[in-house]
Parts: sequence; structure tokens; C-alpha cells
Amino acid sequence: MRHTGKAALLTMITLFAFIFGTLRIAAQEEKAESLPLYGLGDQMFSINLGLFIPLFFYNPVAGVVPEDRVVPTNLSLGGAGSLEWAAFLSDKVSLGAELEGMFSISPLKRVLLMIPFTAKLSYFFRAYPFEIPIFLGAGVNFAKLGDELFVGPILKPGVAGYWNINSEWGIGLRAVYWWVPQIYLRDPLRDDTRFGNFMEVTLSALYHF
Amino acid sequence: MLIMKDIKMHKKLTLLISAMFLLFPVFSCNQGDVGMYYSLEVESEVQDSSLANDLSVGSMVRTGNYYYIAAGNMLRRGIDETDWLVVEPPASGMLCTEITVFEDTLYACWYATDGTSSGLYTFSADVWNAVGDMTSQFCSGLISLPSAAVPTLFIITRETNYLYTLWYKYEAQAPVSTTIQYSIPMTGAEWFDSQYYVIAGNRLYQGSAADSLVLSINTPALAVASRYNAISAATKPDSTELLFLSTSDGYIFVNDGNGWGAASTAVDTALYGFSRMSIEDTDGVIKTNLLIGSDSGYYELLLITDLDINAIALSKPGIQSLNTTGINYINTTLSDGVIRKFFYDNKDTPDVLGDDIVFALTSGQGLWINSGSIGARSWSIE
Repeated sequence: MRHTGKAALLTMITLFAFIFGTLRIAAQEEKAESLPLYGLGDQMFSINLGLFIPLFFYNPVAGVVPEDRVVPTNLSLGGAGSLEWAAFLSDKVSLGAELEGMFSISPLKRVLLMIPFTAKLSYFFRAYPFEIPIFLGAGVNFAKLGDELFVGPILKPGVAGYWNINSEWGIGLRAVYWWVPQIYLRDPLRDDTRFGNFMEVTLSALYHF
Repeated sequence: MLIMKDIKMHKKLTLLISAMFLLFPVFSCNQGDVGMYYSLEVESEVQDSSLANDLSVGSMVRTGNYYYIAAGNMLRRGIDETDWLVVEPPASGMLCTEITVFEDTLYACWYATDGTSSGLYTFSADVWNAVGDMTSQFCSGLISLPSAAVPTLFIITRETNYLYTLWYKYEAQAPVSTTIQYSIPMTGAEWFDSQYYVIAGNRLYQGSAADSLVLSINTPALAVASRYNAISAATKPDSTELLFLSTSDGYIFVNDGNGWGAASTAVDTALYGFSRMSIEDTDGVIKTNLLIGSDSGYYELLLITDLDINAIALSKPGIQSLNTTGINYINTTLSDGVIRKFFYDNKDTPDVLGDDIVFALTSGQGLWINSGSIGARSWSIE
């Protein structure tokens, strides 16, 4: 009986130690998750590839009736791909640069090529293991169609969703809106000013380092 | 130490971002004649019928219910059909270089493939007949002036010494040789203000009768080494007739009956033949544009009542607010093709403005047709 009591006490101590240990480990993990994942100086690199969807041109020229302001692009579904580098300014904010390229084809088989080079500011929402950055890119866009080249500004707001496979790699999907104005200030091209509106949907691989 | 590293990192990032925004222009320009997006916006597929798209078309006529073209072979199609069929030559292996219609008869210049012989033929009921007095001549060109006081057919022949001779023919009369000979062929003729006008290189001949043409003493100033390329009369809305002359160095000259106006603003390409085309303005008013072929597409000139012949400025289609086609021209290969001539067909309804068809005859880029309802004209390739 005495022997049985000793055994019961030992069992209780072991159980207590196990429960305490488990809780302690859980607490440490919880503490670890609440710590910032990234800090100033952490960097990431991503490669993106997918579809380019021409949406519409907007005609801002004075005197155009409202129903004629949104006009079709006549472009085919195209492709887009990009390389991006960024560094974290804080746990949730990164700043970087992106070099991208796209193509799309007109009814007469002309190829529209655009190569934007943008600075990109991102803000990250997290629900581990998922990350959802929203971002805005701004920079210069080189558009080529036939023999013509137009160099102008570009704005690229967007959102992405990543699943972090491990501490280094994440994969996800990006949706990026391209706002690419082509503004002509001299006659007779002034009336040809249009704002290009496009959408990019790309698969993305993200590497943290 | 860590703080220093952070500051350096901040500086690097700031420099990088600043450099990128220095590249951010508000706008930039290296454009063509039309906006890039606009050219896409108006682009549409080009309809393509049975004719080869690399054809060089020398001339085109309509007689009866057929269109005919001279393009090495002579081909024809029904005016409401799409298929072009080869017309058998007068003799096997002959090449057709020029055609015209005079007094409802089709005339054609045919050459032997080796260039050693040539002849002028008429085509009636699908049978070729040699024009007897021209069988020993090398037939180089044909120009029909049905609106002349006496309808006239000009025939240009080439001598073995490469001098070109002008002939004329009235109805029911054999061709007659004029005294006009030149080392450059006669490329155009027109009847204007009760006078014949004939151009040959840098020369302009003029006269009230086809057999008494002389070098014009009142000619537009022509730069050294440039040539007159085409001549054509056109009518303004107030029924005033004007005579237009194009040059190889990109000028247009206009004569209003009182003399030639000043040279137009030059374009950077040679200018060639003319055609009119009905268009509709934003108020639904039908107007007439004059098309002028060039080595790079065509130019336009709106024929308005108060057109100043001393201040002629040509436009390219798709640029001015009132143009012949904002639909698809600027994206077709026609827009940089060599257009030497046009052929205009009012479809037997001269009083119905806008119900017209214009063909553009190119060198090496096929035969193009502009048709469709007014206000929505577009080019397609035959």
C-alpha cells in the first residue's frame, strides 16, 4: 500500500512536470510568434510570372462625352513577369524595386511591350503561415509598339497572398493593377492622350534572406 | 554599432529610392504620328480577299460591272464579287503595265516578257484587238480625259533611244503623235479651265488642244532635281474647280484658275496621285477630302470653300479632327506603303455623297479598298 502511494506520487510529479513543461514550451512558442518576424535589414527577393489582362483605356480629353471616355484596348490576353527585391524597414513595411515586363498582341498582330521599373512600398498583414502584403509601385515605364517608344510614368497598386513553406521560402499569388498614362502635350497628338488600365495576375515565389 | 548599421541601411535605401524617382518623368515623347494607345483603340482586323498582298498595281479601271487592274497580269472581278480572275493576255507570256477606259472601251499596254515588243490593245467582249497604228510602238502609259471638251486619250510611247513621245486620240480617230518628246515619261494629264495640262518630269505642258500643247510659261517653282509626279482637278463645295500638282520632294501646288498658289508645307516624302473621298463631320455634314498618295501612306486635304491655295498644309489620316478614316488605316501596312495612284468609284450614284469606294494602288503591298458606310470607313486589302 505504501509502495502504491509512492508510485502514485511519482506518477503525479511526472504528470505535473509534463504538463508544466508542455505549457512552458507552448508559452515560449507563443512568445516567439508574437516577436517580429522581420526587422530593418532583412531582405527578400521574388520572382513572378503570369497573365496580363488589358482592361480599358480612359480618354481624359476635354469635350469627350462621358460614355465615350472608357474605350477598349483591343489587346489580347498577354503575359507578364517580374523580378523584385525589397528590404524591410520594419516588421510590416518593406521598400524595394521591381523590374517587370509584359506583352500583349493587337488584332493586326502588333506586339505591345511594356517594361516598367518601379520603386515599391509594401505593408504586410500576417496570419502565420500566411502573409498578405498590399503595395504600391511607382516609377518609369517603357512602352514599345512597332517602331514607337513611349517613356512615361506608371503606378502599380496591388495585393498578394503568400503561404510560407518555411522560414525562407513562400509561394503565392499577386494581383496588380497597372495605371499607365500616356500624356501628349503637343498638338496634334494632344487628343490622343489616354490612361491605360491593365491587370496583372501572377504566381509568385518569395525568398527571405 | 548596431545603430550605425541601421543608419547606413537607411541611407542606402533612401539613395536607391531617390534615384528611382529621379527616373520618374511626368511624360516623355518619342512618338509617331498618332498616340500609341489611340492607335490600338482604333485597330481592327483587316479583311483580306483573294488578291496577292505583295502585288504592285500599275493602274485600275472600272468598265461595266467589272473592275480591272494591271499588275503584270491583268485581273478583273465583278464589282460586287470578291474573287479576282486573270484575264488571258493577247499572246502568251505578255505583261500588262497600264490600262485605262476611253469611250467605254478598255485600253491596255502589253509587253512581251523579254521587253522586246509591246503594243496597245483594246478589250471588248473578252477579245483583244491591237490598235493598228500602235503596233510598232512601245506602249508606256495611258491617260484618259473623258471630261475634256473633246474627250481625249493620251498615249505615251517609248522610243528605242529612251525618249518618250506623247500621242493623243479622239473618239473614232487613230492615235496621233504630238511633237512633245522628253527623256522622262509623261506621268499625268488633266483637263482644267478649258486647258490640257500634261506633266513629264520637271516639265508642265499646257494648251487648249491636244495637238498644240506647249511648255507652260507659268509653272510652280520646282526645286532642282525634283519632279512633278501627278496632276488632278478637284471641286470645292462652292463648285469652284482647282488643279492640284504633286511633286517628288513633298510639295503640293494648287491652281485656282488665276494662277498657281505658293508651295504647300512640305512633307518628308514624295507625293503622287490623288483621289477624293466623302467623309462625314461631327455634325453629320458630308464633305470631301482629297487624298494624296506618297512613299509612306497617304495624306489628306479637306476641300473647304475658303481653302487658301497659298497656305496648303497636308495632314496624315487619324490626326486631324475630320479625317477619312480613324478606323484602322494607321495600323495597316498601307500606312507606310508606297501609294502611287488611287482609283475612285462613285458606284454609279454620283449624287449620293458618301456612297463611294476608293482603291489605293501600291507598289508591292497589294490593292487596298476603302468602303463601308460613311462615318465608319475602313481599309481592307483585296
